[in-house]
This record gives sequence, C-alpha cells and structure tokens, in this order.
Amino acid sequence: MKHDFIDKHSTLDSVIHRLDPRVKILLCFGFLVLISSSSEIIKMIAYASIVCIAMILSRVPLHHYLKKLALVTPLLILLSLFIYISYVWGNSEHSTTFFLSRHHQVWEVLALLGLKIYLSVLVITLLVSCTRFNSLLWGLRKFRLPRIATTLSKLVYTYLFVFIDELHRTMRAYKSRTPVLRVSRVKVFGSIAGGILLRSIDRSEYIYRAMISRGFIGEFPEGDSNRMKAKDITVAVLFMSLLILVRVIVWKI
Amino acid sequence: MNRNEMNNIDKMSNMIAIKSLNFTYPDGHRALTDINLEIKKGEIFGIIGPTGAGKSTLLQHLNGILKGEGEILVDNIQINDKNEKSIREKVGIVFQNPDDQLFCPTVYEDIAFGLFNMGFTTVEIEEKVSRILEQMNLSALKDLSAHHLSFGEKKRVALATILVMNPQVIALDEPFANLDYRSILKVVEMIRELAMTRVIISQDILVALSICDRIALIENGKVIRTGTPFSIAKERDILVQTGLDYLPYLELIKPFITNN
Repeated sequence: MKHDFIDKHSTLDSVIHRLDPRVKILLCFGFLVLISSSSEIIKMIAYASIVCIAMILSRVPLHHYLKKLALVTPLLILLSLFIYISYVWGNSEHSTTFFLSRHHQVWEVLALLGLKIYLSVLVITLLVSCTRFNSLLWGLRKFRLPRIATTLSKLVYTYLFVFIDELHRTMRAYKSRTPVLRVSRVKVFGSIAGGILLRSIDRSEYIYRAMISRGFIGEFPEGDSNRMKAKDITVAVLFMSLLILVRVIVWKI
Repeated sequence: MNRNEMNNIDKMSNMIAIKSLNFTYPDGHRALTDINLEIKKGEIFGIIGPTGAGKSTLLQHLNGILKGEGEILVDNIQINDKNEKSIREKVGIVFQNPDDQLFCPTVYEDIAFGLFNMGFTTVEIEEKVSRILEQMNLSALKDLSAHHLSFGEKKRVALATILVMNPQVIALDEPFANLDYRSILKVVEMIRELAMTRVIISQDILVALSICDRIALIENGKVIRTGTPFSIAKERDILVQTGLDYLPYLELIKPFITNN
C-alpha cells in the first residue's frame, strides 16, 4: 500500500531541502510576520516574487502548491463576501456619493487579504514540502516547542499511517465483494467505519508494543544537538536581509 | 562475540528461565497456564504449537511487554518495572507481522529507533545502521518508507531493527510465515549464523525440527512437551493431538520427491 501524503516531496534534493530545519522554520515564521504586518499591495507583490523564486528552487511540482491554494480558496471567497457585504451595508446611506471611491478601497482590502492568505499558505507549504516531518518536529523542538507537543505529533503521524492502511485494506475487501456501489448498501459504511477503527486500535496496540520493545519510554529520541552549518547561517542572513531590503525600498517609494 | 565463541559458551547455564507463569487477558481469556521453561545460553529454542495456543503471548513476556503472574529471569535477573529498559536491550523481539514492527517514515529511521533509545550518539548510530544495512543487503532501501516494501523486504528490515541493537536474545515470532521456500532457507541460514540465544515461534514444525536445538510444544496455553527435535518428532500421538503431525503432509508430497 502506498501512502506518502505528508512526506511526498520532502525527499527531493534541492537547495531548500538541504537547509537546516531550524533555518527554514525561522525564515518561514519571519516571512509570516512580515506578510501579516504589511498593508501595501506593492510590498505583497515583492514578497510574492520572492516566494515564487523559492518555489522554483524547491523543485516541488507546481500543482502541489496549486492544490493547497485550491483548498483555502472557498474559505477566502466566503471571507471576502462577508467583508464586502458588511462594507456595502455599513455604508448604504453614503453609497451614491462615495460608492466608487469606497468600492475602490474595499477591492484593495480584499486583494490584500487574498495575497496575505495565499502567500502564507505558500510559505507554509514550502516549509512542509521541503522538510521531513520528523526533521520539522526536531526543528520545532529546538525552538523550545514543548516535548509533549512533538511526541503527540509523532504518534499521530505514526498512527495516521496505520489508520490509512486499515482503511485501504477494508475498502479493498469491500470492493472485491461489491463491484458496484448501491445506495441501499450505504448503511453498511457505518459498520465498516467501526470495523476500521477497531482494527486500527488493535494494530496501534501492536505498534506500541513494538516501540516499547525497542526501549521507547514515552519520549521520542532527538539525537545529538547538531550545530548549524555556515552555509545555513549565510542563507538565513541573506534571505532576511533581502526581505528587510524589500521592506525598506518599498517604504521609501 | 562471534559464532565460534558463542558455541564455546557453557550451554548448561540459563539465559531465560520462566517459572510458573500465568497470564489472563483483560477480557478474561486465559492465555497461559503454569508455564515453566528454561532456555540455555546460545541455543536455538523453538516454541511450537497450533494457532491460538499462546505462543505469541508467551513471547511478549520475554522482555516484559506483557506481564503475567510468575517469574521470568533473563540472565538470572528477574524482570520488573525498574529493569525493563535493560531487559529490552538484552531481549529483542521480532513480531510476526512486520507492519506492526515498522512505524518510522524511513527504513533508516526504523533501524535507528532502538539505538536512539539506547542512548548512542548520531555518529555511532550512523555507523551501526550502515553496517547492518550492508550485512542484510538493505542499503538500497534505507531512504524508502517501509510501506513501500515487499513483504519479504519488510521481514528483513524488521529483523534488522532488532539485530542492530545487538541483543543477547532474539525472539522471532513466525519468522517463516508467508515466505517462499528460498526466503525460508535464507532466514534459516541467517538464524543459524546469529551469535546469540535464539527463540523461535512457529507453526511450521518441519522447519522448527530442522533448526532448533530444543523444542517446547504448547497447546491451550500449557507446555505439553519439551525436548530435542528427535524426541518431539517421535511423539506422533501428541503431534496428532495438537494438529502438528507432519507425516500426512510428507505422504502428500512423497510422489513428487521420489519421482514416482
């Protein structure tokens, strides 16, 4: 059974993949802060071009990013509609006088919102796609994320595979005896879901036994504390300088 | 310690001693009743029995995963809550289903998992994992997810996850199950070559007879016979009773073997 939905692209080899996870996390969060604190479209466009360059360097297929953007698009549309309607209703008595200028303002707000959301999603997708899940957790742990959070995330990650595995097995058994899906048989899905859950719990129990059998005591080992390489520090400094430069130049314009 | 050195070890001393072990699952099913066994240092000990006899349950007691009533001594140390970690470093268990054993994103991380828990440094771990990957011809798979391997490959990786920890005892649950004959022969050869005490659980009495130094026959959670493969093979009535009688099977394939 094949399921590599989380670490699908993290095994690629690119400049960004090779960076230390801590550098990537730092840059990602720095970028998110800059994006959320900026309120000019021109700055956003400058940031977007930097993100595009990073996306090209990452060698992750474009459709992977587009899929993630598609996921948030309905939410963005709903949010935009809500803002637009509340804006128009809130200004109905002045609408004949200020309609055009006010509408121009709301479109700017909506464009800014769209850019912020899309850029944030792209930056996080870039981070997650170019870093192995375990390395990401390791990096977060180095930034003092509580151990309980990383341990739970690792367990969820491990057991997610078990669940998907059992789901595939059960659906294969179901399809082998039900070539055509009948609406009258839909009620069977309730018992199938229960069965999958029970089987997953059962297998999780075995996996846990395998873990403790190899010395697991409730905490995943973190290994040695690796020193950041000069290359990683250089990239971090260069990238942050570029972002600050963009901010300063656009501010002067 | 190499194989020759292992052969020189006094096989009279116990590596594992199980005394009056009883175990009942939380649902009330009594899985083991008054188990008494002694496994000598360096020997290949087989635990044979039909499905549901309690073999896997017994195996999981050997390093304290399951805890029943009674005593289990590993290298003369009784397993308790305080020494669990050191006992698990001494006794490695390879589960029947490799999918239960492999839970890390890559083969490399799976093999390294036990070593990390044992407190080795990254450099030591890299060296040990690379060595075991090379020994078991798994180097090409090290960056793959275990979910993407064939069943035979998964079995080898599961074995590697334990061997890399260099335990004093390796306990293998159905190591020959679902393997083709060539793979079975490879596993048999590999088990023979291991320089440690080996406990094998199997329903395949023919393979067990051929590989084990001593065998315990289990049925309904009780040890009904312990002895050498020859003494067990002679007890036809017991084998028939437990459903492990192999002669009808040999009769079945006899014409093909004798070309008659």
